[in-house]
Amino acid sequence: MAYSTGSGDYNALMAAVLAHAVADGWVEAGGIGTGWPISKGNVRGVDWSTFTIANTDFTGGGAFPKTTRWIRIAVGTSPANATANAGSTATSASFPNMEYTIDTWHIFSDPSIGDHINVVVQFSNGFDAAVFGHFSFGELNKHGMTYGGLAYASAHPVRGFAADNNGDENFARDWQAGVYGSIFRHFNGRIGYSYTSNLTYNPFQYVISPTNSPFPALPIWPAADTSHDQSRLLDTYGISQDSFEIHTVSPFNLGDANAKMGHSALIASSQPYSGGVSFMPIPILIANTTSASQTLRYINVGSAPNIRLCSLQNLLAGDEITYAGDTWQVFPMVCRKETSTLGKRGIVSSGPYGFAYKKVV
Amino acid sequence: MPNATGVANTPSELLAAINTLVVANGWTKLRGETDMNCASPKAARYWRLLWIENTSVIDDFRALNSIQFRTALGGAAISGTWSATSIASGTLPGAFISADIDDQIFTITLDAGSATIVREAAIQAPSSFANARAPRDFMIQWSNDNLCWTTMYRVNNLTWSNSETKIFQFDDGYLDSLHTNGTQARRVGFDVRSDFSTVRSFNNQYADWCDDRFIWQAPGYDANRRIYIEARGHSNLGNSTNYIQFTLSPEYSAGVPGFGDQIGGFSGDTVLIMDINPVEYWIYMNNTRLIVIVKNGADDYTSAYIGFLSAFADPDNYPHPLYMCATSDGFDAFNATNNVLSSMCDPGDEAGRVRLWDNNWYEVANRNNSGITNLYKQFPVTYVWPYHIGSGGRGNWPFTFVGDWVDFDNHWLNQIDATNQGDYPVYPAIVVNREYGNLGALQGVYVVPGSVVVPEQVVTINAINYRAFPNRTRRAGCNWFLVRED
Repeated sequence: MAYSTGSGDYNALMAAVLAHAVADGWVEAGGIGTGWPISKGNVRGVDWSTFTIANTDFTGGGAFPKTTRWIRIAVGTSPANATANAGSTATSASFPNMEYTIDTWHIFSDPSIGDHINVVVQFSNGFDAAVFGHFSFGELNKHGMTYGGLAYASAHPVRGFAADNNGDENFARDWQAGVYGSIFRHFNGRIGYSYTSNLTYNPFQYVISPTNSPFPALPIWPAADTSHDQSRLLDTYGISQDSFEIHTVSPFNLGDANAKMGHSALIASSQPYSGGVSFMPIPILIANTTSASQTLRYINVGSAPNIRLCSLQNLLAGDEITYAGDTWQVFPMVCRKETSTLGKRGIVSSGPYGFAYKKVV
Repeated sequence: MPNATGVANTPSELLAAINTLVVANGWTKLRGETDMNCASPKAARYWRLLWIENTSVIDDFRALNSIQFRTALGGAAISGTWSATSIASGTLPGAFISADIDDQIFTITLDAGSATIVREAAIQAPSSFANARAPRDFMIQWSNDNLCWTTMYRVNNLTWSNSETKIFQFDDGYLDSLHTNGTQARRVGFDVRSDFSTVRSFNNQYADWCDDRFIWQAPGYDANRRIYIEARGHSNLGNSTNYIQFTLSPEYSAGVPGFGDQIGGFSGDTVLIMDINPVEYWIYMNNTRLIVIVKNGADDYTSAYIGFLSAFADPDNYPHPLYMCATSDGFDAFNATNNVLSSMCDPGDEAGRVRLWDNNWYEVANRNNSGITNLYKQFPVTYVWPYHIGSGGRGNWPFTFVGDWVDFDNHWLNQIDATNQGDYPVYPAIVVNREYGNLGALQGVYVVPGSVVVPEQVVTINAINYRAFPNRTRRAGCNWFLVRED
């Protein structure tokens, strides 16, 4: 099963993900019909758990107490290890918004490039009819590289409501990061996200196969069979400067006023001359633990499978585009609105930026 | 994709090698001289006297009593059709006087009707003002097409008395000093027709005005999306530098003689810089673009890309996504060391150009004019990613910028290692505009991090070979690219 869709609460969603995975050949650890955890190939274990937190919803300028539900998704060295990892925020990827009823979910997979499951959910937060969340687990697309494997769980840890009221830059975005984090990330000319000090929830967790690790056997590189978080992960090639003035001098700049997106070759604007859009991959690089810039090294371990960054300036949520015979379906990162809404108090927006998922049917 | 490699002794030889490859693979040569035999005796249909400004500004006329080209020493004059740049009175090959032409170049041309050997020229000065109006500095040149000229003989600093006759001989075996040897012609690309008002002294390295120019029609994508590539060679013996100058246009008219003057073309200079000594070359082509890479000496690789990008748009909206880039936008000395003198995919100021959908050419620039080995521009408008990746400073993790501006040592391509199995990423070279997003990718050109390849190494990915080249003598992480070879 390469594509499936449905609706319901978080339990129904995870049941649908399980069914989709099993149809793709994933194995339930306890035997057929026993449910999670599951495994397949280099992804030796995947499981999830859930928890709730008390928050205040500032969306629209109000202040309403609410209970938010999160899912922790984790991979492990075995199904049991995945279950253990899913029990802790430190060893899992955190996926919010599960207190909402999901109007539509989309589950994508494509075993031809590695075992993975990509999930998009759509819900209403009461103000916005179409708010989105994203998570994924499986094996990175290695693009033919010969290392043993890297299993990951990734989630877009952005709440679908304005979660705080402390400034113009910290409402709905949760300082998001990880494979899916993009808007309001501080590219600053660096590769991807590294503002770990501002991260609220862990967006990415991975385990490296002990066979043919991609990294040198040195303590400065991640060890195999260990749960790692996003702290040494770089996932987007930024091309930017973090000059607020530069972003605001022209309304046509890629960065756009207030967006702090920077000029990213990998999330370029729609071409004004054609209305077209570039779908840009999300490479994953792991940095060593050297702190001095002169000795910092990166190793590219692949890319997020069948996921692309894209502009939604000329596209709507759920639109499908065919490039070179492949069908891609696009969704907002959180909520598609004008760029001018980014960073505004009480507004849930991810501007005209989103993700494209390859849809194999 | 079709490619060729070899050694070129002169720009003319490299142009001929390019011509051989592209014509064999479907391109059409519209003009260009492939004849490398430049020693006497030479049989050619067209012969001319290229007359350099020969005196002070007090006399701007050219005059002769007569001129003859002869096959045999002391023999009969060759008959044919004579023409000249400007004649106010008189008739060639007899006495004439030009109009007042200031300091312009003057030519007297004989069309012999068929290939004819010339070994001697006889020139008689005018009856008056001979030393001011007779040719003091000139070349005798031959041509097969009346377009591209090759110097056979040169002389300068002559003095004349009224009605004096001088004989200039270039008997069998004679070889002009410009050429490397009798089978390695060296020509100068400037065209006296389009550049006639530019004064260059006889000793100027570009004064031969050979118009050594090839024009090819590449098939392109279809009849409406063809391209025309012009290339002309130059040599500057004074700074030991050879050049090939490129330009590109989507249309072509034979009635437009000037280099870069074609409709929709780029009129500036895009110059592949080469050593004056023999160079090793690699030529890659398909129907829509040409890549030339030159190895100068032991370790200096220069390169040029001319043609279509793979655009992120369809032809209806962006019919001619053209890109052109080489070492420089000028005729810099080969031994000049400057950050701005760079590769075809990491352009210095003005060295790269892209043609947008509005039919105008815009600068593509990654690098500044600087003595620093790798210094990137802070806020370029159009650039090639991922060589230019950011305009930030640097700091230590987690605030480590991989921006390339301010401090080079943190360029991210310099920090990428291969996996423990030796695998490493390659990236497309994308032309990016700050306002318009991703314009297109260089066809068959990929960026590879440093420290994983060596010059000329062949890398095989999915059974396709790619050859690695560095950016000139630079060997840092951000100085490498692969070219698809098959």
